[in-house]
Amino acid sequence: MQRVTAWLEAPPRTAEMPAGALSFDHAALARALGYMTPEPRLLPAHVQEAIDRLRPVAIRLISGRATWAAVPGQVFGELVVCDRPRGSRLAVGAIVGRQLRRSRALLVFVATIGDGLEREARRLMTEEDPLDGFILDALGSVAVEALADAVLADATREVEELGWQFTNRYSPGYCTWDTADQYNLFALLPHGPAGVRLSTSGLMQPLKSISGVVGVGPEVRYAEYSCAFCGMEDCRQRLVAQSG
Amino acid sequence: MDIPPGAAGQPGAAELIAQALADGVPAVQVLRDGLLAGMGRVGRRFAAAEIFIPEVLIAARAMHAGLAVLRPAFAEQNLPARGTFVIGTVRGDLHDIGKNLVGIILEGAGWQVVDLGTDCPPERFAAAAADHPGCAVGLSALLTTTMVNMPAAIAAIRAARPGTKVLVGGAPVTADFARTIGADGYADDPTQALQLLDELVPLES
Repeated sequence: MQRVTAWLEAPPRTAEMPAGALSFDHAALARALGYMTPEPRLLPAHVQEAIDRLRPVAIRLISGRATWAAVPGQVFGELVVCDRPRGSRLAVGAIVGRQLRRSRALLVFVATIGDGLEREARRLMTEEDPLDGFILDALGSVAVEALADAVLADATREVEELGWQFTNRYSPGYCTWDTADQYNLFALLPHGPAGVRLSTSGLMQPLKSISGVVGVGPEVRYAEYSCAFCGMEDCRQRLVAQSG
Repeated sequence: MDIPPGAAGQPGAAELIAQALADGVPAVQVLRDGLLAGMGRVGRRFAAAEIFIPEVLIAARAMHAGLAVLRPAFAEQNLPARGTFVIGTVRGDLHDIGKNLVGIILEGAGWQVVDLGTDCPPERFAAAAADHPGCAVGLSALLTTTMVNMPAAIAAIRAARPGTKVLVGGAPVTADFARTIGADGYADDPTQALQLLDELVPLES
């Protein structure tokens, strides 16, 4: 019990993540490039060659950083009421709320790969070769997802050591969780977590950043993402799933 | 530059167009029956999921190379662009990859593209619409928190130049939302934007 209390009361942590440690998942990269298929596929040779050429560029430009904290709280349907800061709330929506139910706390995280890659991708796209710019941008999208997974792998290992379990990760924008709730999520972490700033419209800068939560507790369970529990017909993930 | 298999060492769009012009084919015919017809085929294959965004970008790259050869011939004949398309990401949003893709592909299809950049207030769209009579305008947004800034942009554009055609697009935008806010069309991808513009802005013969 003392270990759980100590873990829940630990201050937020920030970690640097070397780009070389990140994996560029082939299937995720194919989807980021617009190859709308849920299964890994062989990319055209000229695209694969460009990826192989640009991957070292991406690794050189990525500066991985993440901040996360355990925030005790309780889920009430569409709302998560957090103990710290007292009375703070996340309006996660019914679908994400259902996945987080029975959580005793949330792992709240913000991760970014910095702005070097996005600047170079923009330069390539507008001044040199749009295809190179697009591929570098896609590599960045995959890298920031890999970064979030890597950071949460470390954090959830601690959860398992407590004898607790954890859910999948969810972000504002998933299912019906409004991106406007970004402000409330950021309020659960120190100002400028991982060096990420939030604009007045709820936009994270650098753009290649991810924020989100993982539900933790003795009774939660992990579920893969599934369109079956979400009714958003226009969601791109659903279109990807249907395109196979 | 990455060349699709089979194309390496072969004449590309630029070489083929130079040859066509040298053979006396009129520039406008090269554009309409060659480049635009080719881009139309690219759009159909993209819609049928036979090709994907990287291949569309390669096609756009070929279009750009071809247009660079055609441009002097157009200048001699004083031929206008297909039309003017003003594009920008709405206020509060800094995402530009989707906007840039649309701009690159429309430019490749012969449109003059005026890129207003990101985080554009309504007044910037309105000023551009006023500066480019007959233009169509594209609004892009990637967040639910910023797509709500589209109606103000549309209102400003229409106040500056009534009847201006406005297209909207971006990940959270839907056809329903486009109708609700009074846009003339919604495009899910760059080739749809091109197709929609062709319908909304008929080619003058």
